[in-house]
Amino acid sequence: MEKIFVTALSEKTGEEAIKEVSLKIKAVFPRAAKHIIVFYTPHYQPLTILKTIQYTLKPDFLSGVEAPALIFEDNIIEKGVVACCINNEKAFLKNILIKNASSSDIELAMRKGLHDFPGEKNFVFSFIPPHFNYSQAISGLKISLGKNFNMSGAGYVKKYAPRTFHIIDKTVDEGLLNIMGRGLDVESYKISGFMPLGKPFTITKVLAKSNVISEINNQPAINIYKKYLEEKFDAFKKNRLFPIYPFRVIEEGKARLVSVLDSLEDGSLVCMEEVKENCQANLTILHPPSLFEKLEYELEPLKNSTGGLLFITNSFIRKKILKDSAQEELRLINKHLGASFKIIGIYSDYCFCPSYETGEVGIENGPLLLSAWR
Amino acid sequence: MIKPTSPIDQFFIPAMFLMGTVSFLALYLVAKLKQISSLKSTLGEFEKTVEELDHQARLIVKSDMELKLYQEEVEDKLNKLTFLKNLILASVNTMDKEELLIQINEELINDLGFKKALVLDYENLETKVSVNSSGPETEQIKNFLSQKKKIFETSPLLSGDNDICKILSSSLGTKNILMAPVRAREKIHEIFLVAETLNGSEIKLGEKATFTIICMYLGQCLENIKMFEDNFAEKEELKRKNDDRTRELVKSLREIEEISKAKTNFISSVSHELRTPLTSVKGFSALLIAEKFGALPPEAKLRLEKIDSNVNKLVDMVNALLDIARIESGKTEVKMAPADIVKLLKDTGDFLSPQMQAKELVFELQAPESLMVFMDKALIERALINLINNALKFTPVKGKIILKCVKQAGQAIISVSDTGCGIPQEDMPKLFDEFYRSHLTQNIQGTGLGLSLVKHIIDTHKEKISVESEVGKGTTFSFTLKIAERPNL
Repeated sequence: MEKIFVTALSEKTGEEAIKEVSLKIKAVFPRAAKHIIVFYTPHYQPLTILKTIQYTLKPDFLSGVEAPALIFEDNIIEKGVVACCINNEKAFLKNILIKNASSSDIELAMRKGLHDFPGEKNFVFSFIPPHFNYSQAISGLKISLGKNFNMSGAGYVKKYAPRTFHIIDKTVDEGLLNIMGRGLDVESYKISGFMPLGKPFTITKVLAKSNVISEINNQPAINIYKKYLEEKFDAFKKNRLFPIYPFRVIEEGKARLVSVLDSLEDGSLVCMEEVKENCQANLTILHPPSLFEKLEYELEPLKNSTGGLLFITNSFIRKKILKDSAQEELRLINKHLGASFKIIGIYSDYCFCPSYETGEVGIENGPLLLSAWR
Repeated sequence: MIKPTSPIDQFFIPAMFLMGTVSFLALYLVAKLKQISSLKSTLGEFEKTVEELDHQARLIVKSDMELKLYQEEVEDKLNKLTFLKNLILASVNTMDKEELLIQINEELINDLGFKKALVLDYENLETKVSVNSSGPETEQIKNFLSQKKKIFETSPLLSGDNDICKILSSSLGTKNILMAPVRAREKIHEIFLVAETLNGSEIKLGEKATFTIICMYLGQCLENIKMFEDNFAEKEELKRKNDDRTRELVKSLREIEEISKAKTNFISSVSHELRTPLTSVKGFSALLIAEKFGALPPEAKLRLEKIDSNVNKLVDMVNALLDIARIESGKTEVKMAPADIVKLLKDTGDFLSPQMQAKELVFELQAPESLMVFMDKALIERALINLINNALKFTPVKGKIILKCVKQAGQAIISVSDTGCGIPQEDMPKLFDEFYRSHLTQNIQGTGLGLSLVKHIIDTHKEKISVESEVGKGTTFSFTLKIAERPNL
């Protein structure tokens, strides 16, 4: 079978790393490298990456994403360059960089690029920088792209580098980067592994149209953590560990994971997404042994499908919770899918993709987002 | 359908029906009550189980939290150790203060767990490093510290619980401040300040300890830099002094060389100018003594003989001066060739034997049969004649002169010993100077050029000459020559 996807990694320093990945790709596709997407840690100069790749591979499409940590096969790469080449004649990729953070600007910029994507089977993968409000950004993307796009992406809340530069074809710039495409089959899968614990509780008061839960079981929302953590609560609050125990919220019979980001002085909880009043919820926990038991089952749909490129959007909070087991999780994914998929990925503060059940795009900071490109 | 047959039946049947219904309802009610009671009991048990599960959930969450905090702590400590290791690796070879302070950048401050940092010069509060600190913030801190900086003389670390930090925090609207002095050689050089933890949490003990270690380490680095700078300055000063001295010496040497050259040229010119008239004087005096121009009165002849003798001395002196001048100017060609030194010693001894016999001196030659050395035979012969003549002059009647030649460590050592008056120790350093004469020999005729000529000849051979003497006992002059090995036949 003809190779469509090729991935390469280099952990060398400076220009050497970019040369190495370019040569690895050139070894497989000596004549042409049609589409190149490159991920790099902040240790590398995007301009050097751009020049080297343009000079050695001369791709039709080039996109470069800076991320604080990368994934290659079953390894977490703290410093390195990972490149992916897609040589599919049917595939069409396009970069859209948005520099203004407002929802309307995002909508306008995205609409301008839509004329290249007339059909229904389009996809977009977005990288939201820390200085963008993720709710506004995703809202802008949703409005402009509608149902014709399979929308997923990753974003950052914490500024991990003074400035974050991306590569957009022949330039280097800052902003919200969208890689839009058609001609490839892109499917997203979420692996959570968070288990519900304890008695369900009712979210009794939520600030109108916001992501702040004021009361749970008619008490200050923060009391739910006090109840479970007892004497450990102070250390928990002091270390701002709310995201490690997200809520499993059941709305209209459907469950979704809602991450708690922080608490306010009045005892309210700030969540990643909006929550409705009077819905039931549970506290959840990520338990590595249980997760690994379930992982095989969770990967089942991908195991039985055609291979290709598997792009993992992993979360820092998951890495923080799993510690050494984070590597084990990647090892298991690689063990089950490594033969049929080229596995690469990035670490981010949150990811977003359409819900399998509702089709609504939701933001989460705990799960692992697997995007299968075929 | 049952039809009533009598009034009793008409009453009894409905009554029976009613009773049956009531009984049924009663039984049904009892059954339902039992069911409710059972359900209540089940619900109670269920609630109990849920409560139990909730209790278990609390234990799980608590244990998980405890484990995570423990892991966080271990990870935090490891990170801090790695951070310290990286800082040390990056700065250990830094011998420049500016270069050291460059290490305090945003990455380092973030690794330490803070967003902002300032390094200020202790003396004038000049900003040395600023990480994410705005201009107004920096000015506010400087103004504040200009009045309070003395506290660092007694406090190694100021943190959030200190009053100064509290005041500064509230005036800046910045949370979590740590301040410490950077000391080197018992003196405060900088004030290091960090503020605002990255995760917004309060400053932990580990962070305080790490910050203190960093300040101490920076102090140690500054001390090393000062030591290096002092050593470098000392070395430079020494080098400068050495260069100055060398320049002075070179200048003096050139001056001496020029003077020496001028002297040589002068002596050479004067000697040449003197030799021509002297030759003429010598010729005529010889003719006059030989009475070629007629007989002379005895008185005149005696005076003429004295003139002739002094002319001879003058000729010798002029010749010696010319030889020295030639050697000094490098005009004398040294023809080094293997020759038998023992034969030369014998010949020289024989040549001077009449003078020795005239003074009844005992002459001894202590030498092997033959010994081949590298020499300019004519020059060495000249040196030997001068040395033996010297011995002849200063050895009293019936004294002894010994010519010796020995092989020692691949060299031939030739010596001329006498039993003369000897040379005082204080005269030794100037012995080979031109025209120098010891006060003990003032009444003995001589030019003061003989030993100087010998020294020049030995120097041109790149050999060594030495003298040993004891007043009243005698003197020995020794010089070395390289042995020329005979080829194996």
